[in-house]
Amino acid sequence: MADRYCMHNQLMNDFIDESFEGIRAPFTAGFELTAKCNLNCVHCYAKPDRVHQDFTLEEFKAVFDILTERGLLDCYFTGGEIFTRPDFEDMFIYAKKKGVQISLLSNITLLSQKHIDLFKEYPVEIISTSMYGYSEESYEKVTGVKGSFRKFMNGLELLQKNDIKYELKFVAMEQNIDDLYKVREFGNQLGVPMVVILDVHPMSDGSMEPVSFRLTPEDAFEFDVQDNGRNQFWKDVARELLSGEIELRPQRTIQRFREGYLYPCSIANQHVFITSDLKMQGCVRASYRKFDLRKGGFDEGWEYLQKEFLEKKSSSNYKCNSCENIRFCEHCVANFMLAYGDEEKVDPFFCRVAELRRAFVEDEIKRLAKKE
Amino acid sequence: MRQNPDLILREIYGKNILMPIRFNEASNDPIYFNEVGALIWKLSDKAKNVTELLNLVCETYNLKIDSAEAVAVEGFIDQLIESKLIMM
Repeated sequence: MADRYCMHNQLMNDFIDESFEGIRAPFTAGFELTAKCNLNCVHCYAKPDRVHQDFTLEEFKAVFDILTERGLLDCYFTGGEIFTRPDFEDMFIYAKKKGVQISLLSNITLLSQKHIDLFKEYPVEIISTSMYGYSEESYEKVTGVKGSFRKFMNGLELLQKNDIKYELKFVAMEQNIDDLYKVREFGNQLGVPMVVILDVHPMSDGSMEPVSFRLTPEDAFEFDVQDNGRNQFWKDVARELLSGEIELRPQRTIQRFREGYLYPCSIANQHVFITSDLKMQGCVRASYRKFDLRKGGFDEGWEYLQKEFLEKKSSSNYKCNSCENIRFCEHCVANFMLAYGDEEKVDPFFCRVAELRRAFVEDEIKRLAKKE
Repeated sequence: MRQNPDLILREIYGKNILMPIRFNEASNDPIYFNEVGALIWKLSDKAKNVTELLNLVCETYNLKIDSAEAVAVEGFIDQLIESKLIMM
């Protein structure tokens, strides 16, 4: 697909791809430690989940034990805000002692020296944090909490000063679009990896409110060509297509679509997501079909996810199945389901962005071919 | 002899990966072990010294102590000690 949501753990992902191809097991996982949060971001997909009864430490340990027995190597903790959990440290240390790589997704407004001391003893793979705006005004327009920008910057300083690995994310919306390039430059100056999210997702209950803040496809594509990193990424894709290093449609996608399956990604195949109320999902976005681990065992849930996602076939009308723009697209069946209640109803935003990207790449291919 | 307690061996579908737990001097990145490497790691807690460990490995693979393979194993044990993955 077009890009990764987070850039961390590429080496471990590659190792899993190479070593465990064809093996269905939860080598990677996401854990929503809590849906509760100290911020109130306008675009947050997890807001509806704040009423969850969060899993206890003992419940977490029990699930984590099973997952490590089944092969878990790499996971991330997310929320809500993970540092609102008073037992965060207990969970983190427990997971580290099991020999699992852990990344953290956090707004870092609650990050303190005690966390830094913890990460110095038990290293975190990376902390992924969103910078919602370059200024206090734009940042807090998104978070809805006065004083949050200052706390975020303090958190950033703590990470930077103590050499804790982190990446910056920027979720591009109407509210903060003017800050996109400033934040990008800020990240470049700090020398940290950056991920830009151009497609805000629906909420976990299907509410489209966050999507109303989304950029237009043209604005999203504009970033692809203006940003040095993204521009180079697409030029590299052009070069690799020209040389035959990659094909127009990624291998796994071709195979999955050829066999008539709806989901071409690794949902419920080598990945699982555990919600804060102990439901098992194929991935973080696929909240519409989940298995309650408080009512049944892991294996039963894993089998359920296989039937509901891995084995689910598409209809012959499914537009994406024959689409030649798939390499340029960040389409997600789960997002379509959340947005429209129909897994096969494609969001035209993705189609348009993919068209624009493909045209850019084709122009680059022509330019390279002429040069040769 | 003992394994460095700041790392743990994960055995997953035939692959052996040494994963770091705490920050340590030996390795803070995962290390992929082949079968022999994993065996040496596992046996190191049972041996008092290098000779004993070498003997245990040779017994497992039916190697003569003066064979080229045994020399290679001894070299690898020394590397593990030098890198502090195994401790005396």
